[in-house]
Amino acid sequence: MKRPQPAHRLALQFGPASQHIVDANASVAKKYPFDDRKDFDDADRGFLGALEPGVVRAAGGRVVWDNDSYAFLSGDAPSTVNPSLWRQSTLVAKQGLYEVVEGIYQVRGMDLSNITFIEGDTGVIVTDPLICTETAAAALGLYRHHRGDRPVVAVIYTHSHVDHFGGVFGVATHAEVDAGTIQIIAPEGLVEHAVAGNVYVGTLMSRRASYMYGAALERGPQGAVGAGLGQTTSPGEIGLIVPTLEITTTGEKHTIDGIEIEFQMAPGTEAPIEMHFYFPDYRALCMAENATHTLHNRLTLRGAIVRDPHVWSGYLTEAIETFGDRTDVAFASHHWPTWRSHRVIELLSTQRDLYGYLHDQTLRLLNQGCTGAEIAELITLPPALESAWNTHGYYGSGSHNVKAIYQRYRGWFDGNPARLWPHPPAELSRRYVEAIGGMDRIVELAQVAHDDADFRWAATLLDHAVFTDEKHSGARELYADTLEQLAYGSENGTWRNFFFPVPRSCGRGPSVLPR
Amino acid sequence: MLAQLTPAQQFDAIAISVNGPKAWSLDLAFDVRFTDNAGDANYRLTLRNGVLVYIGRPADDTAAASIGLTKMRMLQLLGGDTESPGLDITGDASALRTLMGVLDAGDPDFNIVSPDDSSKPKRTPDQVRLTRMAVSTSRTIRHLYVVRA
Ligand SMILES: [Zn+2]
Repeated sequence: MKRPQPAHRLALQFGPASQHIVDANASVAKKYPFDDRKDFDDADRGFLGALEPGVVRAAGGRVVWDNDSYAFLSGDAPSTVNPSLWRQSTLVAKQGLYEVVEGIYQVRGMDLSNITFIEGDTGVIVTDPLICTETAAAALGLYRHHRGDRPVVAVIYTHSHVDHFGGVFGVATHAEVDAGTIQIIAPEGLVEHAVAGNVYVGTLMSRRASYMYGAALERGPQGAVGAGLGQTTSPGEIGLIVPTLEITTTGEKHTIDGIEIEFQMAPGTEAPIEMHFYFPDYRALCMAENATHTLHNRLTLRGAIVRDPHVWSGYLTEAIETFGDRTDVAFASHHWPTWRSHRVIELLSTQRDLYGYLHDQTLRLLNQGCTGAEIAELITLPPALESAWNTHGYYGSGSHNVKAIYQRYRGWFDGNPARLWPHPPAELSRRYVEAIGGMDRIVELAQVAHDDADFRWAATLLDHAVFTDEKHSGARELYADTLEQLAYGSENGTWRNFFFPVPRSCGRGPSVLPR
Repeated sequence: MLAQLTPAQQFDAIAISVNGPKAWSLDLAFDVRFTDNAGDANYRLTLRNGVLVYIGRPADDTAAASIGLTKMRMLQLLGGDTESPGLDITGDASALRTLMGVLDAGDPDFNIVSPDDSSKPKRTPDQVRLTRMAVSTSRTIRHLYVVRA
């Protein structure tokens, strides 16, 4: 059933789903256990109240977060959104303050990530203060509104990605840290990696990240519906206060404001510098970003060094062994928590097996002579894994993760001599277009592919076409429509966002192609 | 050189040769003990969802089989040899054969300039040889190659 759409959010520049995509999305709705509502129960559990309206503004009034813009996410998926992604987005778009256990609270849906508040004897320990000052301050305000005006006594960064430290100035000041009233706790080496990741290649990263998270994309059934991991990123003020306490060793314990914390180092997993930790007083486990409700990335599409696909599984096994039996609830800095020891162990094992399977099978097939692109099409998940919602590729995908694992071990070259020194893209495209018989002919062939619902081939042909003549209106129009179809069918939120921003020639959308 | 070959590296070598689809309905657990290892540490190996997982943990009675062997005998086992002496198995010996039955070797002669899939034969475990494993790209496997060389 198509839901009514708020008029001001309609992404009018986009066309409808083709019949093929309508059918494909309908078959997804039949394929997976949509009547399994456990995730919805967990995502709603402990709800204490939302920020209303769900909008956060910068000092000058500029909107940096508008969760209400996702209000269209309810009920059944429209034909222009993969029902599995629609389900995930419906869960991820929930906004508010939630009790994890009595004494631990999370604000979710106020940025890409979650912020967690752990209450101590005199104040509160803040874990992962979101991306920007504005959203972190708003989240702290919401927490205090419900839990009283507790002072922040410590901030923990779980890892070196900006959505886990960038909003620290929303919950702490330099003066408080200098005075020793707020401790900043992080895994050793975080600052160096945060700088390396965000500064050295920052321009490329933010350019690509703007595609990946769809922050500037119109929201709606024919636009952005979420990035799978969180809804999108917040474009506010980013900061970093350097740690006053660095964690170096698995098994290390510290008592902060009367609360004992037991640490497990997990370097080289989802981030180069990352750690998990456990609160014995609350029987609660924080898994940072290593066990979430999605297949995560081995190589994020915004670009990064390929993550080690092997150690990630190993640290999950270690977490199960170390904490599993004494954990009543596990939470992470994205998505909703999981309660009860056996369900926590099930989630961690499923995630571990998922990453282990992709790694081991990629290497097995690589040793049989398959290339990354071939393996990406060959691997299917074991039925027991595929039936778990948290293995679905909402943020990472099986396809691009397998290629990343290949890249990690083998590099970009697949050993085929013809692929060692081809022409660069524009030169190659000009030759392809000429060989095929000119622009009109290649667009004609792309139209045939489009009509046959071979959108991948149509996109390849049209890529050559627009690289040869970006002003050819037929090519651009069909290219935009082709990528829209791929977006509408995609289960992956970041793929959907990447497919979208190709404007047409007819005045709808920006006037230049993405470069 | 042998001293450098850790149990983890040996288990990794098994893990990346598990044929996922063949193995994904199996649920096996083993205790493995290196008899020439200082401290005689035990490892729990499990195969579930087509994934071989290992962790250092004391043996208990939840494993299908408990296997004691030397590092060198482990290398032979990786080569598919379940018959030679030196394998001290208690419990269900057929569980080990079941595991060996879902391992694929690498193919040192695979096609590169043509996509002909028929040149990528599926090998049976007894064809697995350590020299073949040397074509693997994994750092852990390169160790095996060094050891052999
Ligand atoms: Zn994150």
